[in-house]
Amino acid sequence: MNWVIVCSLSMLGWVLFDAIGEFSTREMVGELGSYYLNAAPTEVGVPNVVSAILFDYRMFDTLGETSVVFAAVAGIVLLFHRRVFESTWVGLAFLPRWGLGILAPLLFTYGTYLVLHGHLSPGGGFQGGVVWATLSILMAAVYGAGFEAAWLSPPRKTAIECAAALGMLLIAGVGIVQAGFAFTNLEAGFPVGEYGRLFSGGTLPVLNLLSGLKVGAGLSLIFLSMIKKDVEWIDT
Amino acid sequence: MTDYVLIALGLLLLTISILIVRCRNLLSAVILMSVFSVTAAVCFVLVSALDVAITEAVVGGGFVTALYLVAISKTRDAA
Repeated sequence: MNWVIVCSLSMLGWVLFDAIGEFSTREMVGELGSYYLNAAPTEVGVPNVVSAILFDYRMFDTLGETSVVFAAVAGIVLLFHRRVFESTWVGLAFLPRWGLGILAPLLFTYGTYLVLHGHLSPGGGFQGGVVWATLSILMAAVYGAGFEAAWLSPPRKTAIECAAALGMLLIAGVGIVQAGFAFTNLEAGFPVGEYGRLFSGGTLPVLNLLSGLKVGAGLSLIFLSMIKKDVEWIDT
Repeated sequence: MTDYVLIALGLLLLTISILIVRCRNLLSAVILMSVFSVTAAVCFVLVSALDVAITEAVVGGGFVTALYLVAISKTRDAA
């Protein structure tokens, strides 16, 4: 058994070793890539080309990925379904409480910055949403899940996630009605704004915000559904 | 210059991953995985893939580490 593992791993290493040489020598940008690099600032009106591809040129792919996350969250919530969530107010000791108290505003600001500036600088809805979800998990672990649920209860998180998904579909519908394709951005008449400012790029900031809310609420909901319940949480 | 830094970081990644597998303590393994993610994020910054670097640092260094730590602390009594 060990012999088989060593053999297959060394074969994998041999294949990957050849790929190392190919990795660093590539300097050219492909045809499609150079088109995106040249056209994205004028066609979409945003400096961050990665965000322009994700939320404009290839938005349909992004919608697919988003629906995968949505299906995963829906499946987990269905599987671990209960009307009572853990709402203990017992958290960790003195030092983690103070540490997170200092860290939490910074983390929240970082996540919000990543979401809101997703079309200007590296980052975007997904990354910012994960930062928000991490903050929610840390709050639940350090201060107790009841404290976290008092800020934003699990039913409200479900509502936020569903509303964000519907908002994305609404933007797709506007594109279909106005220009004939789902998620058409500037051709559908969304305002361009001034290049490089916070309110620019048509639907891009809105889609970033929606996907950030969706990912943050969804990942936090996965965590809250999977921890064991201790005390009753009154469903609102 | 960047190539040598990348090779050094790659060797560091290799060392950390061997340490993760050989580590007997679960908490140390989780923290080492977080260190692995941050080192990989530095590699992504060096090849100027900033979006991937942010995703790697946030998901690998933050979210997954928090999930693992909570999972370990929740299962400690049953084990």
